[in-house]
Amino acid sequence: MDILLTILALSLPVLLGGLWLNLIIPQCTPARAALVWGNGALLGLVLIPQILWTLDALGIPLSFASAGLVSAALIAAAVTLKLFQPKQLRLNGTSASTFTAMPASHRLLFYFLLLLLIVRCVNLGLEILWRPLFPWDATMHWATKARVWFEFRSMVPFVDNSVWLHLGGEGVFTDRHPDYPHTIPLLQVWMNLATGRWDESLMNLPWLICLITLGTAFYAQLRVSGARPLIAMTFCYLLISMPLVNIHVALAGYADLFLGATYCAGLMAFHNWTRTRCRAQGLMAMVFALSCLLIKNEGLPWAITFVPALVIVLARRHQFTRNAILFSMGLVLLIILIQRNPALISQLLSYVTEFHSGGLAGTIRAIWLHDNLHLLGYLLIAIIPMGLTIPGAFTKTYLGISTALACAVSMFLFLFLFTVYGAGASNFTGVARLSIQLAPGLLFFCALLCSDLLERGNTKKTTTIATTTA
Amino acid sequence: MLRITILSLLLGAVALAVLLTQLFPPDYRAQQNAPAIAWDASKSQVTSGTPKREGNELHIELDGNGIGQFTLAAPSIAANDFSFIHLALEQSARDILVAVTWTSALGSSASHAYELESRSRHSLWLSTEELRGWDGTIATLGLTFTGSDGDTVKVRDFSIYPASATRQLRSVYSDLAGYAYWNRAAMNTYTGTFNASSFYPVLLAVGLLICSLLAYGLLLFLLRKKLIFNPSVVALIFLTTWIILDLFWQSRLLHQLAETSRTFSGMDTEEKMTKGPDAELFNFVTQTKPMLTSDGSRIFVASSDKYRGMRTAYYFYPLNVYWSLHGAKLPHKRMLHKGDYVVLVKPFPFRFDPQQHQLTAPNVGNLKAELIFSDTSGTVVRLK
Repeated sequence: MDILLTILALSLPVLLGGLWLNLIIPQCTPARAALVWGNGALLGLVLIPQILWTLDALGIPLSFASAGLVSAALIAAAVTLKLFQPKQLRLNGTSASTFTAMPASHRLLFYFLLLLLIVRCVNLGLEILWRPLFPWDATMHWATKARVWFEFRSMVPFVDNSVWLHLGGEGVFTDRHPDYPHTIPLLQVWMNLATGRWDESLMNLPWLICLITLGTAFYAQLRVSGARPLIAMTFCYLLISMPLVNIHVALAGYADLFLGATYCAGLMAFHNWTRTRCRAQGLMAMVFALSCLLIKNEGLPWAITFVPALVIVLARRHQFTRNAILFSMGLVLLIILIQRNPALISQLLSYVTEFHSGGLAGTIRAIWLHDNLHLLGYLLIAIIPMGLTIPGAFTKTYLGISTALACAVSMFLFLFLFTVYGAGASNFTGVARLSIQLAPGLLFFCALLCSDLLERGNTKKTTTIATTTA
Repeated sequence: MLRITILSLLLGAVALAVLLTQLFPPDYRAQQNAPAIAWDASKSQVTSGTPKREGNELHIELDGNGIGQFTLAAPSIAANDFSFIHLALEQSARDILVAVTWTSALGSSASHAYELESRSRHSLWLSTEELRGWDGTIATLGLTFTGSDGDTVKVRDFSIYPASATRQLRSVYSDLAGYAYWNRAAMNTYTGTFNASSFYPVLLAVGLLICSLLAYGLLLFLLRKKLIFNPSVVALIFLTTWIILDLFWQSRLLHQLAETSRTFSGMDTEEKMTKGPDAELFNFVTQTKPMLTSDGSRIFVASSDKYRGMRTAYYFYPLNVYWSLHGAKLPHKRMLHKGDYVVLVKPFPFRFDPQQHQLTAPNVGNLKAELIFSDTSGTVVRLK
């Protein structure tokens, strides 16, 4: 029975997100099924906790039945809407024909990489199923909330140590980070509500789903952006094989993987929206960008990176307008901050330090010496020369995503080189962990450039051969 | 394309092996002229545990304290004459700790130990250059095993060798193919190395990548009439390098999975906790919980060990627990009430006198308290 309920608890988010995305994603989109279910499942994993949160806000006790019913109703609504949706023209077998047109050796490599991914996911899934909660922060500020909320069937407030003492612990609980968003603990609550008992292994299965959805969405969005199936699968393999990403699934309980997945999903959708102006992609970009805020506090700066990217993309042809918008936005933000919370600015400034050489050394070691992300660091070094060989790569074709990522990387470096958090890089406690929030997005950018270069190489070769033959 | 990629990779691998052994040889290779000291079980001296010799194998049964120890009966040796140690062990229990131990004869005799991190002990090559304290004259060299009474270890080889190219490559392979179980820092970073590793796996992979790309360039130059540059070959070389690096990681993951399966499979949550890494703390909390009144009393967890304090606090949830990472271990006296529970997890800087019913806490003062529970993990008191 537990197995069935667990499968149901994992299926509902997948169906919820997938069926709603199925309504809005055009039929002619390449790798549509992967796009719908990859992004949909990730969306569902973010939505289910919000349903629980809403029920709690309405005073309804947390239960699998009530949240499940709401999810089921939303799923039914999506199915009904689909039935009444006018039939769209479908380009039959576009993906299939692209796939069968591949040379046999490419298909073989495609299946080999897929096999490696399947082995990896089975391995990680079994590790989750067998191992109880293990990592440090998981038991310090994530599962603490889940444990209490599951027991009380209510989102009892968590407060800071000092507030807890001041209130005498009356009606409140405390842990290390009471201000962290509710999504991750509620996801664990959801899994435990399904079986009706606290299970420190089963509640971590969403981490595996998150990894699979990230890989699926990654593959699909690369296909949408024009990459061939083999290239898309290759980069999907590179992403899913990164050791630290794997560790965050095997030893589930941290939010970094979810944040990396939602930020990457947002970036990918944003990039494809800038290319195609497809509304569904625009909507996904917006939803996933906002979802970053619901996962972890670090999600705020990552979500903000979409703003300059959007402004630059919208006002690409009007440099003056673009600069004026950016300047005004900065000014407005500053005025709001000064008016609303002048202390916040001084608080933020208090974190700033002089250049942290230890932070630089730690960052270099984590990205280029340690095996956290395999060879991603070296691929990143190649981004600039690769981009420069493609005319208009940074100024036109990939302007939006490169702006967002440049902002994100700048903030990442600023954090570890010029703030008190430099210690997190010098002692390796924070830098690699934070890097997995950006790694999927950065790898997607690398994949776009590589795909573009290889396509150009192939076109040039074909042209040369055609000229020679003529 | 495939043939040229494979050829480039093979040439690259050969070039990397040559580079590693010629440009980064072990120190003192040129000065070494002592012969290898090959394993001879009959000459080993067992100082702890019960020995049994079969052929050239030494079986040691750990003593009542769970200790087994032997040394090589070799005269003093110059550390710099030996660059590699080869070990081949079989253990009856997985959690037996193995340490290479040696004493330096120079100056004041100093004892050194390197606890093996890698669990691949059926054939393990260690580079002595990476062992802290491996210098001067080595008076004694041996292995120490720490486990439980009655555990056995079979030693099939424990030899020391001077430097050679093949031994260096074997040592690099041992580092790459070895594995260790998850530790607390696993979530923060994965270096891919052990403390005694000679090279970072990523750097080796980058070395292979560069050598293979150079080999491809060389092939392009030599066969310029037949070959034209193909970016797909570059991509394939990069992918293969990544896959090779990843296969070592995948192997570690699979070994870890086997270990996790042996430890936890088939157990329910409660059983897992009693077998897991925090079994001691979990059992302490499980015994304590029924003794606490369930009227919403507050529980203050205090320990000098952050990890133990944090984990104990976690196991007390969903009760109303207070534990502070950076703040005072216990809040100010006026914040504490009668009926509050204080859980002292060892090690702790507090003193509880059960006769006087008094808890003495630094920076807090003396508190009247009664003992609720105490065992080797900690003490629980209720404030009066």
